[in-house]
Amino acid sequence: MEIKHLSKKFGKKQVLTDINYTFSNGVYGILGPNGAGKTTLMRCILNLYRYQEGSVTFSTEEGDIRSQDKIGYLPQKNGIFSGLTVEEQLMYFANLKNMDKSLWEAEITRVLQLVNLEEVRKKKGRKLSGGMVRRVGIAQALLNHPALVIFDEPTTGLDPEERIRFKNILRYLQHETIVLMSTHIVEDVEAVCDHVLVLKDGQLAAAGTQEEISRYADGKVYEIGQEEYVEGDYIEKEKEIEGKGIYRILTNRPLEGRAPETANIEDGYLCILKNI
Amino acid sequence: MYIKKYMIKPFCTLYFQLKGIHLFAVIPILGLYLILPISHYIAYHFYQNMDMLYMNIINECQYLCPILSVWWIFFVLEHYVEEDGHELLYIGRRNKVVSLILLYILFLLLMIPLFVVYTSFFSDLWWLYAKLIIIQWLYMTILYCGSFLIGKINIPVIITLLYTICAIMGAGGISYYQPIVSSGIEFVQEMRGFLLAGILLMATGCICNHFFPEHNR
Repeated sequence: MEIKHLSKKFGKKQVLTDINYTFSNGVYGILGPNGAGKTTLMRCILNLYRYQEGSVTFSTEEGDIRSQDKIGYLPQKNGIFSGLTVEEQLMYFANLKNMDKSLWEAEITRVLQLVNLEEVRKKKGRKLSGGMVRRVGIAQALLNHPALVIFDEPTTGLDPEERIRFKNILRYLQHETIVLMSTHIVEDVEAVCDHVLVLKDGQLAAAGTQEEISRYADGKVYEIGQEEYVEGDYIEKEKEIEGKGIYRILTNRPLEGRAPETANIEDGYLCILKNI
Repeated sequence: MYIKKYMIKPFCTLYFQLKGIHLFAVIPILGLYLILPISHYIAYHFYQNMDMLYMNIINECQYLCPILSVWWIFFVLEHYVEEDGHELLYIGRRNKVVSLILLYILFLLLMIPLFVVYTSFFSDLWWLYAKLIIIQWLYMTILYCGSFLIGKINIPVIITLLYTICAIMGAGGISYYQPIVSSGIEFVQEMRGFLLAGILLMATGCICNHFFPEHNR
């Protein structure tokens, strides 16, 4: 999938500016603060929003398949028919994806196993918990072996065990599918994404592997005592060691005699956002 | 393939959508085959007069059928415009008018057995059926256009309810609840405005529907 010079405005407000990126199979994390344009970018890719400039081309061996059939999408919130069973909900989406009816049974079993919902297959929507509804949403996105899967804040509402399971699903998908996952939870990206895109004010501020993003913070991460803090340092974390307050900071100022800490992806992400 | 995509798939989609609303799905059938016949029976039993039965059929059908005809459409539109994650339904095929027209036709088909019985007593009641085809079309297009225009279903529903109440009370010059017409020319003269309004609302609705997920963000 290739995005070229993608720009999007809502009225006079520029929401996305000149986005360029080429995706191949793998898991891509889209990081950015609220309002950075993550959801807009994903909806432009899905053709739900029209963009003023640029192009999104999505080609497989079967040609351009940006139709519902081979795309999986999990919106930020997903509803459910209260009167349908889990199995019927998935049949509904299998039908929308133009799947052959003879394949429904096996495919629904496969996705229900992936999201660990087989036991509630015959349970009505109104009897499901919030986390289960979210997992039904993930299951519908995985129907029909999609070539592109887009998850918008997928781990919202999942308990820790289910988050781990979800991350395993992404690992399983990464070789055969392009997976885009928008989130502001950096640990989720750290755990599963091969590549990271950082959006800031509608622009692609940085893109690369986790190591490449972490490198933005190389030599800028320190742990200092509270008394050493000066204005302009960005406090990332606070902790207490033997009654003494310690800050983990991001800074550009030289700290003589101090060795910087090893930077992680969160440090890199924050350096990009805060222009450190 | 063509038949599957454009014929079977919409019916299958509707089947799940109606099943999804559970017991609410049977309300239009109960209205047509239980409430209307009971009302006619009471009217006849009370007055023992065929003229009163005739008037009761005309009045009750015009009060109830348009509202019942958009009952399923209301739930399906709610699913399309208000349900969490409804944008998922706009990947690929955007236009939702086919589902609504199928529901409109389904209700007209359900009305046929009732009108076969009515016309066995009063032959000119086919004109009432023809009239309801137009009025129900108008109701459907008000809901379709309104819900895709403002991204909410409740306001178009209030508009149709107010319209019905005004029509029943004869307020605001809305006068479709009149005694039955008896010729083609009379029918065209009376109903052409409603038909035209329905066509305009449908066209506007299609445009709003086409731009919907973005227009409603």
